[in-house]
Parts: sequence; C-alpha cells; structure tokens
Amino acid sequence: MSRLAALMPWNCTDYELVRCGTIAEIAGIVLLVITVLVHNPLLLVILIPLGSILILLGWIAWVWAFVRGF
Amino acid sequence: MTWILILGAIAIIVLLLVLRRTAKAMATRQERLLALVVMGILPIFWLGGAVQYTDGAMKKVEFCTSCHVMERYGESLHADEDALAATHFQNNRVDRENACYVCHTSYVAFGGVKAKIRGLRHVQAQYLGGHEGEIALYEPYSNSDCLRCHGDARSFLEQEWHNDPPEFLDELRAGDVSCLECHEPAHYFEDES
Repeated sequence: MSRLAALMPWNCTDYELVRCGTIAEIAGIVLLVITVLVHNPLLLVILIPLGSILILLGWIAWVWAFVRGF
Repeated sequence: MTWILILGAIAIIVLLLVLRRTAKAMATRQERLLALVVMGILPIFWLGGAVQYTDGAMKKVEFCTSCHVMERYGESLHADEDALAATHFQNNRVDRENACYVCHTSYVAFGGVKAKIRGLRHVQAQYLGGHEGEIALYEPYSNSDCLRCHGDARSFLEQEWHNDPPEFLDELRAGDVSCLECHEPAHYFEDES
C-alpha cells in the first residue's frame, strides 16, 4: 500500500480516525478564534472557510469512526 | 460574546487533546458518550456560534470602512450637511452599529447572500486591485430598501409631495421613480464641497 493510500480514511483504524479528527477540529477552532479576534476582511475570507472545513472534516472523521463501531 | 467564544474554544481544545490521548483506551459506553459530546457535538455548536459572531462583525460600520476607499463614506455619516446617510445615521433612524449593512442590503430573498458575494469582490479589489476611479453601486438604489421602513409611516404617506399627483405613491412603490431623485445626495463628501 502506498503512503498516500495508507492515509485514506477507509484504510485507517477507528483510533487513527479519531486522532486525525481531533487534530483537524483543533486546527479549525484555532483558525476561527483568529477570525473572532481579528476582523480583517482578507483574513476572514481565507480563515472562515478553511476553519469551517477543518472542523467539518474532523467531525466527518469522528462520524466515520463512530459508524464503524468506535 | 468574544470571551465566551474564546473560553469555549479553549475548553473544547483541552477536551479534544484529552480525547486524543485516551481514545485508544475508550471501551465503556460512558467514555464513548463523552467522545460523542467532545468531538461530535461541541465543535459543531462552537462553529455555529463563531460563524454567527463573525457574520455580525462583518455588518458593522467599522468593518465596512476598514477598506481605504470606504473611509470617506464612513466620514460622510458624520457630515453636517443634510445628506440621506448622515441624517439617518445622526438621528438614529438606522441601527448605527450596522448602518452600511442596513441600508445597502436589499430586503429581498437572498439579499444578504448577494451582499456577501459582492463583499468577496470588494476584498479582491482592496487587496489585489482591479478597480480604478470612482466607485458606484452595482445597480440603482432600490426604493424597496427605503420603503421597508418608510413605506407605512404616516409621515411618508401623508407627505404632500408624495401624494401629488395621488398615483405618485404607487409609482414610488413600483420603483418607477427613484426616491433619490428628490432626496439627494445619499452621501455628502467634505472633499467635494
């Protein structure tokens, strides 16, 4: 299995999914905290979608692990 | 609200770090329930709160006037001249904190969405360039934005000019005649006087 294929969610264990998901959610929350503190238009345009996507990816990872029986 | 969001973020991050360390050993129903709350529910609620808060911040006058080209429009709100924006702002006829957004977001379906999309173009113009010369509205100012507040006001309905001829009120409501034809200027600029 290539290194890239090994990173795909369907090749990860539930534990790995939860670990990656927590990191994605933490990163997303940190980015959004910046948008809460700094109301710069450019930062908002970049960080709101990026932070939201990271949190949602973390959430999907958790749901994935949960559905598989975590 | 800012501090609630920040404290919430810190609490969620701490819980996520704890979950990350203990995930492998989670076996009981209670532990999994805790994981559900920490990873599945809290971040989503926090995301909703943060986006709503930031969306509110983007409606404020300070945000709109943070771009250089909009500074003079912000200053025009404090002008002594009898201009629409200034009289509305100074006499508290609009929510002062969100004055730009209140008047410049058409009160139609997806008016706010259109404003956000235009806002993206403004960010592009501010940071990457792409606009030369005087800025202007994308389309003529809609009477419906004025009539949202004034439409059923007695002072508007009984105003002599608005009823002369009697069908003039209907023309205003239909947008056949712009409110700004009589009530100009919208903004008064000191540097143009």
